[in-house]
Amino acid sequence: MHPSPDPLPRIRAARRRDLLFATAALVVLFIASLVLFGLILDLVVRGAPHLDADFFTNYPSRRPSRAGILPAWVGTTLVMLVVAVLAIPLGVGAGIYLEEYARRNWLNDVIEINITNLAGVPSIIYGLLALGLFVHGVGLGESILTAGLTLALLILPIIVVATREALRALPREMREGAFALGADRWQTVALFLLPAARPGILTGIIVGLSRAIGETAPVITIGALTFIAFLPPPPITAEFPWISFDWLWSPFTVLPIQMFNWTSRPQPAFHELAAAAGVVLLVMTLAMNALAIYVRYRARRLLG
Amino acid sequence: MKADAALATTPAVRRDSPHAEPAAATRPVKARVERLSFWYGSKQALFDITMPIHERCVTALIGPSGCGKSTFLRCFNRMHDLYPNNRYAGHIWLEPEGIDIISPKTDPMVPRLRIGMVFQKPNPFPKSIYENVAAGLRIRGVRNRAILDEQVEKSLRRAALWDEVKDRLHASAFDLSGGQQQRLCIARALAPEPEVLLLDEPTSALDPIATAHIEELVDELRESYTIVIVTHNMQQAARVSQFTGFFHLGKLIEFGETEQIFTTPRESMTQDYITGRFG
Repeated sequence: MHPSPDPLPRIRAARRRDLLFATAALVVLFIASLVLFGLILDLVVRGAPHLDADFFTNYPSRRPSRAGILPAWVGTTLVMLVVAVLAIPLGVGAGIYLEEYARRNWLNDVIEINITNLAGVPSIIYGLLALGLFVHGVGLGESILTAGLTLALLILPIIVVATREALRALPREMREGAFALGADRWQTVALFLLPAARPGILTGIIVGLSRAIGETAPVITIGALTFIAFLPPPPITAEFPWISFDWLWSPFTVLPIQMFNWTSRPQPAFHELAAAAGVVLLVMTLAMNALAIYVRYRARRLLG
Repeated sequence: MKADAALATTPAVRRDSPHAEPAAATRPVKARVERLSFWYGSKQALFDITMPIHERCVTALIGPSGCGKSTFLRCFNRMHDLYPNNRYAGHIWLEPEGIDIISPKTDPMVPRLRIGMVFQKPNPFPKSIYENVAAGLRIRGVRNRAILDEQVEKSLRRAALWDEVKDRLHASAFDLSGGQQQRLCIARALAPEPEVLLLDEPTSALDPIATAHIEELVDELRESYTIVIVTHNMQQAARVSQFTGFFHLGKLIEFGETEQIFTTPRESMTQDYITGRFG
């Protein structure tokens, strides 16, 4: 290879190519952001006038001026609580098992392929499965528990895959270091691998929970109500044992369903209410993300 | 050859020095390797190796890349068990009880709890300096803060790192330089008071000053530990070890006292390697 007599033309060409690509990327980024910000702005502008205290404390109503999202945000909160309690330990646990414990054999290969594919199954299919299995089969009814189970199932593959990838990305030297010190498998996982993999696992959990909070189709399929004028029984009671799980069996609605219901009405006032509910849903999702970013930041401070 | 020149005077120096020892070969044996072979899947990496590891001595393993010296070292704490399809044959007897380290009946945790290891690349855990050193004790169920504090300080002192880190024990281990990280890993290995210390090319990723630090350290540590060190650097082997094993293509070509290996090797292949004719 001989260097060309004058390298300048080549360098200029390379610069031009870089500039061209950067410009193209910026334009694409700009268009994508513009669409997103436009949508959010539209939502906020239309919804903001309705975002007052009454909106959060009122039940839905036929009159737009009196309609609120009390059962919807309570329902969403409770369903997400069930989802988090079920999906996080199960998903992380399954991920740890598959990555650190399971031997390489055909059965585990099959399980692995299945889990990856499950992440791509349309959510309505999960709704149908839940309708047959949880609502009628097990007899859990159209309850918060059923919704929590269904959505947990839906996001389980996301959490499993994220956990596995976070563990797999850890350097092999870390595992060897722990074992060489005399750690058993569980100590290696609990004391060294999990703390180091926490940022990646948390990201997976948040992606999963964010997906669950916005899901509408499977929740409609299992029979969430679109109009509801009562709250689930409170989890804390006046008498012993002060904690009650009756709310798990209660009928419910969630924010996306409330929005879906309002947008399908003819009166424009309801469309504005839907926009306001959308803002609340977005804020809830962002709050979850913010929490995760904070925890991740704290976890990463030690990683230097 | 530089190594030879330096070594020509070594025997005399040793006999006169305050470190003078009884003829090293009469030292008690900490581990006996007997007809050890090892396979990565179907590929044989070690062939029928027999050699002693003398107690409270430094045994250096030298040889060209891919000769199997690291593979050999990693048999002592069963590191190969972490990956599928690896197979051992033969015995490594850990004295004084005579436990066969590589027997399938021996739980790999038995040697790992008694034998510490320092890796080629410094591999501190993503934790504080303190927690890195305390890790081995925590694994062994030590909870008592006073014991942990004491042992952490003692280990960091022995690893010649204490003065540099005593004011920031709770800072991240990743804030340390490469040489400091490697000394931290040595402190981590020392904290549970292992009987044997395995060093797998501990200075290959370090600059000459950090390397000198570690070599001094190894020389001091052999007062209390049995050390096996893999090294690419023949001067290093000559400087720090009392016994040397020369490996080539998975076979132990020659084993003996370091002076003898470097001054009057029996095998022509050893001679060729230490004089730089191949490798």
